[in-house]
Amino acid sequence: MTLLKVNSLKKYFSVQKGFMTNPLTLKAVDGIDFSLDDDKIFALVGESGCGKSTVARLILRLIHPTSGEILFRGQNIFDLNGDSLKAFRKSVQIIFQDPFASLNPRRNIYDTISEPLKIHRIIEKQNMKNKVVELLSEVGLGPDIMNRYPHELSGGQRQRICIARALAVSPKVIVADEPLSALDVSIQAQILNLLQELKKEYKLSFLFISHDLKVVHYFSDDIGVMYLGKIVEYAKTDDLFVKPLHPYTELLLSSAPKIRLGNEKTSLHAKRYTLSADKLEVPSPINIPPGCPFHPRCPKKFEPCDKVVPELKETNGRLVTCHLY
Amino acid sequence: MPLLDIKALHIFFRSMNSPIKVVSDLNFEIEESEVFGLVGESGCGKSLTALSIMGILPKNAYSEGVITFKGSNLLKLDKESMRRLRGNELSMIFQEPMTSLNPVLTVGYQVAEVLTTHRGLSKKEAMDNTIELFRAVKISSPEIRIKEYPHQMSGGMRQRVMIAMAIACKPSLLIADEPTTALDVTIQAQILELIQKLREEMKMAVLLITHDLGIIAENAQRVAIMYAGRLMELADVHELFNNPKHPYTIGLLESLPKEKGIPLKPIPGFVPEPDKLPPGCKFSDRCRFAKPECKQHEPELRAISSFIPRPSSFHFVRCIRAEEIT
Repeated sequence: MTLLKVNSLKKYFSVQKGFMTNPLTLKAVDGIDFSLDDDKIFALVGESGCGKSTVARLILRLIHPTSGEILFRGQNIFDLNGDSLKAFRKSVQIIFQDPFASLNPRRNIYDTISEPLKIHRIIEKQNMKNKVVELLSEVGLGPDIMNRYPHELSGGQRQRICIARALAVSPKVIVADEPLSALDVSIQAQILNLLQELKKEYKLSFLFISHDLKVVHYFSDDIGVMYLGKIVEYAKTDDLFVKPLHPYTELLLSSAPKIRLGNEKTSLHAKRYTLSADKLEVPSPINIPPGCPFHPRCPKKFEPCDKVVPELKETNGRLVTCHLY
Repeated sequence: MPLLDIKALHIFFRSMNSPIKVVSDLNFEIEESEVFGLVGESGCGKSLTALSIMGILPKNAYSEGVITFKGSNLLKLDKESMRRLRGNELSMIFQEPMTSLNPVLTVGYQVAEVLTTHRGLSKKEAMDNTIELFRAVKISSPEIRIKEYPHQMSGGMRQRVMIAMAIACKPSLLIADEPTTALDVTIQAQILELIQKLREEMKMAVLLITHDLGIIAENAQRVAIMYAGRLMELADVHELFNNPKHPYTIGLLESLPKEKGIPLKPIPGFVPEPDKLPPGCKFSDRCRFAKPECKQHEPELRAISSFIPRPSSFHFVRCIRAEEIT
């Protein structure tokens, strides 16, 4: 069943460059559609500045879109207010990238985790402590951590606290915005396993935002590849990694460093297409190129690419915005 | 003779009580024009090692031991000779290209400064050379770009400027401390490729410091794995990935997601603080192979016999059970 549906969502910001000049428009999210089903993991991948975190903030209703709608169980979340809004907030929670910045340094762990329980009146005061202990053990932490402050904890422990805080209100959807990138390799695996266990136990759906393709491949069911505010390819995770269709997806996959075992020669110049000097940079979202936004960097561009904006097309059950298909 | 030879390097932080040892008894060599990878998690001492080679440790830290570079001990050099080496024979690029460039000077000036200082070029000659360097690091329209300020450039471009500055005097050793961590994957691939290309052209050795094993697998020839300030394993890159012997290395490799549906095997626990290290082997409290004696005596880094085609590269491990572990 579709839990969350995003329809032609757009978010433009206006950027004032000088005092007397007209503000410029930054198209952070430029018309994207996707849906998240019950008990599924949808991953958004893309480089910095492509708008993936803006999508996360829109889904949490932290900001309002320029146009478009987000349906949660068939209801547009931007029409909600009062009690229905509160119920929505309970169903969608977020885990941020930086567990150092997302915990209040003046609050101990008990206060941090019990706050959502108090706000949503989930549990009576006398049972609060037990509930917090239960949540902590759920994320693999002992009860003695309750009286400590964030600065006393390591990055991995802090990220566990953030997960416990998100779980406190028994959400349906968790938006995880680069939850692993601030952590060390050995800790990343711990957190990834934890997220997987919790997903199984609570039947959670995830919107998983990441730039780490290895992790996305391992963790997600469906993928949307974002480039300059648009989803350029939309596919089942396994299909995407077997055969990327969009040249940008291809570039992303070939750019990720890989560990090859055996006596295979590991060389940087292996199958990787290189870009020439003037194609290196991601254009600014203020000044998106006409036609296909990827065409200045695309090695496969041809006639219509710099003029006509490609539509999202279906080829063999896959969705891609590219003139090649 | 190796280009850089580190012998019994210890690094300490001064503290209220006794000094805290953060790097302990580090030994390794870097040969000419090789890429030597140094891998470890945050706080393992890999960046401090780099800073200590460059002689730019923070004020509250100091080092002991011998770092021989081209025949002279860097730790015994006076300030003036060290200054002449730094930026000239030895240079470094950092993780965050925004904070390592001066925001109030043009990037062209900052690169040219290296040349006027170390090569004694005039301002005009230095600027012309800078344009060439920018071309070498593939910055488009370098004549215009040299007049820009760091804030006008993207992260990838700034890292290119840093590289241009680092290679300006054709150093024999380039230390790259997490050179691509702040960059996107597509840009990361380009920067690493650029470093490799320059290394081949200039016969420069590279000390590549990173936490990303994928980058190491693709770029380094030999790898050292550090944990809690110690070298845990040192081997040829193929040997290390095909035949890891230290439980920590094995743990790191098993932490990486591989096939879907196969649960990851993370290393339990977390990295201990440098002043709260366990006795004996420093990894023993997180190690699934640990035996009682592991917790009593710290094992030595020792060479183990293995099937290596080239006799020049040995496999060193700091673990008493290395032979039993596969």
